[in-house]
Amino acid sequence: MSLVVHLIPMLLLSVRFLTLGQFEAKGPLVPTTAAPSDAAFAEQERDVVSVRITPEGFVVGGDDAADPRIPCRGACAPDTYDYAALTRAMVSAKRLHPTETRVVLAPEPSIAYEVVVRVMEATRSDATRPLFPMPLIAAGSGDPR
Amino acid sequence: MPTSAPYMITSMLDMFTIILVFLLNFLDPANETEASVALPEAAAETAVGGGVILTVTRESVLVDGQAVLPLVDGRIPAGTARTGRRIDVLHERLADAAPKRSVSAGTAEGEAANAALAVHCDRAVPFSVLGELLYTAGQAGFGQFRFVVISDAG
Repeated sequence: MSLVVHLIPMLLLSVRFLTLGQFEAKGPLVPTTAAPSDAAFAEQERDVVSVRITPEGFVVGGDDAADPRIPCRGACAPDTYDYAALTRAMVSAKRLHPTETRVVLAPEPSIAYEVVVRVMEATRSDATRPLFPMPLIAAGSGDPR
Repeated sequence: MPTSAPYMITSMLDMFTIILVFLLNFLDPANETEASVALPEAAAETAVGGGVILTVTRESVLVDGQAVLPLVDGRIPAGTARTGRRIDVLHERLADAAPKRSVSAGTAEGEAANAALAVHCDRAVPFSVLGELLYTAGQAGFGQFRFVVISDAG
C-alpha cells in the first residue's frame, strides 16, 4: 500500500496536461473600411515596424532590407510561411528601432488565425532577447464582409 | 478470525489527498475552452488571465460561453445587422459585458475603455471574420486583446 501511495504522485507528475498561454495585443489600430493601400502602408512604415501578412508571404516595413518581401517556402500554408526569416527581419528592424516594442500586424482577409498567432510569436523575440512584444492588430485590414 | 484484510484507511486518505491537491492545482477554470475550438499552438509563457471571453468556432461566435452569432461556412452571414462595419448583436452583447466586469472588479469606470478581451479562436478562422469581430469589440470598448493559444513553451 505504501508503494502505491508513492507511485501515485510519480505518475501524476509525469502527466502533461494541456496548458494555455496567451499573446497580448492592442487594437483595432486602423478602423478603416478596407485594407490599407500600399501608399498608406508605405507612409506608416517610415516610423513603425510593420508586417503585412499576405497570401504570398510577409511584407516587412521598418527594417533596412533591400527587398521587404519574405515569400513562403513553397505553396503558402500555415506551416510554409518563413517565420525564421521574419524573426531575422525583426532583428534587423530592432537595430533601427532599439527602443520600439510595438509592431503593426496587418493580415489580409484570407489569412488564417493560426498564421497571425505564429507571426506574433516570430516577432516577439528571438532566442536571446525580446524584439517587438507588443503587437498592434490592424483590424481594419479584414474584409468588410 | 477475520476473512478479509481490514481497510488501510490512512494510506487511502494519503492517496486521495494527493490526488485532490493535484487536481486543484491543475484544473484552472481559465484554462478551459470550448471543445469545438482548435486553438493554435505557440510558445507563449504568459498565464491566461480572466475577463470577458470571445470564442470563435467554425460554426459560431460566443461571448462568455453564450452563442451570439452563427457563422455560415466559416463566414459571417450576409444578412447580419450592422451599423457601418460594426456587428450590432455582438456589439450589444460585448458592451453589456464590459462595464459589468469593470465595476465588479472595483476598477475605475474609465478602465472599461481599455478592457481586455480573451480571444479563443479556432486556428482555421480567416482574418476576414476575426478582423470584423475585433473591430466590433473595439467599438464596444475593448482596447486589449489576449489571444489564447495552446502553449508549447515547455
